[in-house]
Amino acid sequence: MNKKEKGKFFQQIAEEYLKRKKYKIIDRNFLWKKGEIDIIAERDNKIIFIEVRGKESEDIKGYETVNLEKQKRIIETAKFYLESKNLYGKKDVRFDVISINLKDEEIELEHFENAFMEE
Amino acid sequence: MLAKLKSATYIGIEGILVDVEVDLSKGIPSFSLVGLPETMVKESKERVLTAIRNSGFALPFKKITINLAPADLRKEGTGLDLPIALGILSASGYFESKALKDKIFLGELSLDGKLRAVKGVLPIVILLKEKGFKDVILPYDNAKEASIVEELNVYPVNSLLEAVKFIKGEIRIEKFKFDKEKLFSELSIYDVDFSEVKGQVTAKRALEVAASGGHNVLFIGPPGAGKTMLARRFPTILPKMTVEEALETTKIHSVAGRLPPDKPIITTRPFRAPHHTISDIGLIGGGHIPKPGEVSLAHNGVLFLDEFTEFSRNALEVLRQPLEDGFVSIGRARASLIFPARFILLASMNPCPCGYLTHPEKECTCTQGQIRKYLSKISGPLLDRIDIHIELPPISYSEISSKKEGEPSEKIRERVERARKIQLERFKNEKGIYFNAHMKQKHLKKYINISEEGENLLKDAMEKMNFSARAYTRILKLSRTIADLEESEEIKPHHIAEAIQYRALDREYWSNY
Repeated sequence: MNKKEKGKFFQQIAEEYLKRKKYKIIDRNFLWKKGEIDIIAERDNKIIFIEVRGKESEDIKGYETVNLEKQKRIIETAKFYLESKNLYGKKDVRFDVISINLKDEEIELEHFENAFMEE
Repeated sequence: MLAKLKSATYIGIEGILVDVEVDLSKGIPSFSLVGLPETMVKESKERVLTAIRNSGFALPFKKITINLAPADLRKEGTGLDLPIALGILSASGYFESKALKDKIFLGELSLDGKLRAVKGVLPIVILLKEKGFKDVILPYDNAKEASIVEELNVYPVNSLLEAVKFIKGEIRIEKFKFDKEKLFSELSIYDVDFSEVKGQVTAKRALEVAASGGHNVLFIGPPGAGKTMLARRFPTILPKMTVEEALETTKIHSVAGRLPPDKPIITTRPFRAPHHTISDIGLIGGGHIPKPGEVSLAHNGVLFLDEFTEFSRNALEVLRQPLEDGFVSIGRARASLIFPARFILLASMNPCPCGYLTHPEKECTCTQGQIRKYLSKISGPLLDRIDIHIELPPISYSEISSKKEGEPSEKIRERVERARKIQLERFKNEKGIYFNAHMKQKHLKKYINISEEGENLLKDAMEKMNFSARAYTRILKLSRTIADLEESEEIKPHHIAEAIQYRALDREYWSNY
């Protein structure tokens, strides 16, 4: 698997997990000049922006790589998304991180709700 | 969803009321704090959010906006943590905002939700009393300090959770009661006493006069004459503090964060003895947001400067304003503040660099130039502001070996207290004046009543000894105190003679070199 395929693979795992948890996926891979949001979902009248991070190593967990820089990009992109759909200030918003670690065909998934907020 | 509640903080040594407004709205989750918060207040974000989570509440992931009004005053201190946290919880619906009305909240949060003591509680509660507030909720360790103001209902709490339960009426908290009379009636116990000082009768008498009238003292003498020993025993003869004085001094110590939690009010006169390497800022106060220095911490007490000439020139010259006015005003770009600083200055120095200039037996090894340079460190204006100059002779063998005990501190203090009573009666209508040494020009005319013989003696002395105008008023004040010690309404010639004797030293040294 190359990098792109890997990304797709992890995203699929995350989406299946979210569907099981009764999240409604409203958009995926939303791209803007400042960044990208992997999954945009909706539940309990809340918009949830989800960053999916997968790793095939034991030494580093996926969530550890969502640094401040990355968070800022996601927040900026989310603002643009809300503005473009005319939802800004009308819905509660949440930022989640789904971290997936792959080890000998075994999948370890961790879901962090409310993972970060704007500084 | 909006929550409003009241808190307070302080600037300098005055309390100010702060309105804390918390708004939660839909949008990108964030936490913004407006209303000129200083660093300590800005950092409350992390403490508040973590404390809320660790107290078992869910964090609202909403756009949190907090406003601290009035917005044009800089807020410092950590006391706003508790009101901010309560505001967030109220706005997210844990309890009604109404329950917070007319109460004052104060306290620093630790990460686990426990409350920590804050600085400056006394100036805040004094303000609350003036503004007519009744209920104040604050950390347990601040309760004693707050209950000094009797009109307030002080409710001490241990944690954020306890505060929430109390607001919701789920638990009852008893009003904090504390016997402040007991603190004032306790006698101070010192482990030193004047009876241990052998000889040095003149110096002891001078300290008695100084303690009675609040006069500044300079000791000059060779090493080993007992300068430091005498100074250390000076607090043992100081008169008791009045409630007003105690409150004033406590305010300063409260803001400086130097009050021990078990002793909420300072009832014994402070004795501050900074080392001579102290900077002028350390001595006078200052910093980015001005903080009180040693002179203010010594307010209503004693500032002892050992090795007076070793202090930096800058540090010595900044002493002039507090010595003259009884306060320091510190101007900085961000704030200009006034701190009270009325103290008895007790200074000691050697007569020359080697120390033996006045010694009857030992040879002084200093040159004229060295001595001149040494003495010139103490400027004339500064010297003028010290009422009493005393030369200490070295102690002779017969004095050291003598079995005779000196007069105990307690006896001396009784006389001091009597002289003090007379002064309190005299100045009862003068605001901010407690001692003869504090008298201003207008008071001199009103309260100084010299006999005719005394007048003549003073005139003679003035002409022959070349005193400055300031020295003249110092002599008047000193003789007033000496007369008070004898409980004499009129100032008699022997009072003036003693007073002049305490001023003579400056001429002897400073004009010969």
